[in-house]
Amino acid sequence: MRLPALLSLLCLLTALVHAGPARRVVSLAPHTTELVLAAGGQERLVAAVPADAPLPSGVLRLSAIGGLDRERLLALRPDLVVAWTSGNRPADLAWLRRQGIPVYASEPRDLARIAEDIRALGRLMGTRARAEQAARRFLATLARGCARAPAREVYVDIWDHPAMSLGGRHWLNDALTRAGLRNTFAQVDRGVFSVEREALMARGALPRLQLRDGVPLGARALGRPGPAVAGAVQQLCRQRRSLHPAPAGETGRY
Amino acid sequence: MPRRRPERLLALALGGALLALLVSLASGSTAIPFERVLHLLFLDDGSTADRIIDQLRLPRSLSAFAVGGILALAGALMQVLLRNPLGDPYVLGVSGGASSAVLGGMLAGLSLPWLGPLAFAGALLSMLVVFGLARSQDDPGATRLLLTGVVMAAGWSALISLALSLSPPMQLPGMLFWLMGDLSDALHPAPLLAVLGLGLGAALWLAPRLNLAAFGMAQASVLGVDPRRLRAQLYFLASLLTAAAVAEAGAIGFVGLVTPHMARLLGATDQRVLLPVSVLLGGALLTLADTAARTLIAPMQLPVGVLTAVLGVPVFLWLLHRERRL
Repeated sequence: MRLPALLSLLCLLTALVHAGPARRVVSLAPHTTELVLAAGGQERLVAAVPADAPLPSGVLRLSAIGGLDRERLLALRPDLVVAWTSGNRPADLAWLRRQGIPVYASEPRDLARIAEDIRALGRLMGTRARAEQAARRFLATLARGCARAPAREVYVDIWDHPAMSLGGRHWLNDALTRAGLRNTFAQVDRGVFSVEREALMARGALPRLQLRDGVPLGARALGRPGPAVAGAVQQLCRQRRSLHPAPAGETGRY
Repeated sequence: MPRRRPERLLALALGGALLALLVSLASGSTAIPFERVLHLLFLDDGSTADRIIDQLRLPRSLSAFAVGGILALAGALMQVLLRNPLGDPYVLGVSGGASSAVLGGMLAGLSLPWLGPLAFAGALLSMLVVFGLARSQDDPGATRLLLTGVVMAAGWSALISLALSLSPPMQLPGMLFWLMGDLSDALHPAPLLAVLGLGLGAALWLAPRLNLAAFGMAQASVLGVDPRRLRAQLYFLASLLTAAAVAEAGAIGFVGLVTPHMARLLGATDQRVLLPVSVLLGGALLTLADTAARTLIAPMQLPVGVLTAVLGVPVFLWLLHRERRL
């Protein structure tokens, strides 16, 4: 088993041993906020980094930018902090654990893992039934994808200056596969990387999937591994035929 | 090392620059045979290889050469202006002003076409502030100018850190690439080459006075050079050159600091030789570094500013080791 998985299991166990279900939950990333809400944590959430949907009333909005405000966090007296392994600062997460505050760290490597995160949060917050329902709904929506259709190769456009794309080491590849698409740089052993334009031009005309702000395709939900990804995958699957090939190698300006 | 004759030195540097450009044109993630590269330079056949050469490799190689030449020239001028071997185009805060402006613009969500002009404006602002502050005394000597510029640069770098710490994670890679220098979008070499030509012309016009200034401004003024005027001319020429380079390619380090010293180690002492040799060497160094940046781990690319140092450090140390005079 991989180290991160081991660590999250360890945290989970500490949290479970730590007296009953969590009552005061703090979420430190947009996608973890969505996961907590999907798992039935509306009444448990006391502070959160907001995602697209408005937070339930009375929940304190935390800023996604900069390090953790440790004083404020202690004042919130959380009994569960839900964090994003690669998005929050490791030093902050280590500090939380030293304070004896249970941390559930989420880092989905594929989409099935999102359902597991929802279930795990349901167990931690004592909302198993609602979490199980949400996880099943998520998996059912995913299963209606179009993975069986012949895959169309796409260029994933993350950033234009410099041109940045997606390698194979990212959960988005799973989302693309389920939507009947194939990332043209899936063999590159990286997450997001800066693309050398010549390699792109040599691939000829490819449909471009833009994952920046102001994207078509309603792809905003693809920006983070939350429960809304299932719907975005379905939408992407429906619209995959209408993705038009950009002229060979064309990204950003030129 | 025996002192080379100026013509031989210039020919050597020119040969090196041409070789670097050829290597750059012949290298890329797509294998195109060298004869075909030469053929495609002059004839269009509409193939992908043709577009790769005409739209990517040629403009990018020429841009790299122009930016490298401009930075080397600005560095050589700064070293005379400050009478300090550690002078480089960025030491007085010109690139700091440009970087702060660009990062601020990125944070505010400005789109790509704005970033170049914004960088230029930031560089000009920093240049004018530094000169205005240093000039408040009757004659802004080199030390006063250096201190004003260095403190200004420190201020800018604090602002840059602030912008980086406030930026959303998605924007960070773009910002870091810009800060380290990046030529992937520098695909319009003509204006840069024009700036390089004009800058070199102006610098050569100043060169006889720069030769006198090398003995110290006091001696030079005895020989009829107006030190205040020469300092102002040097300062504005070097700063404008730096602003143009930074606006197009970000803050590419090391070239401006080290190439004038390489030219000196190769035997150039007269500014009329040192300046053009620095330009050719700087252009060649950046062209080779950029070729490495886009080919070493293709289809990924590295920030070119890292590679200028990786290539430049061993070459410089080897030259320094051979030359015991310094």
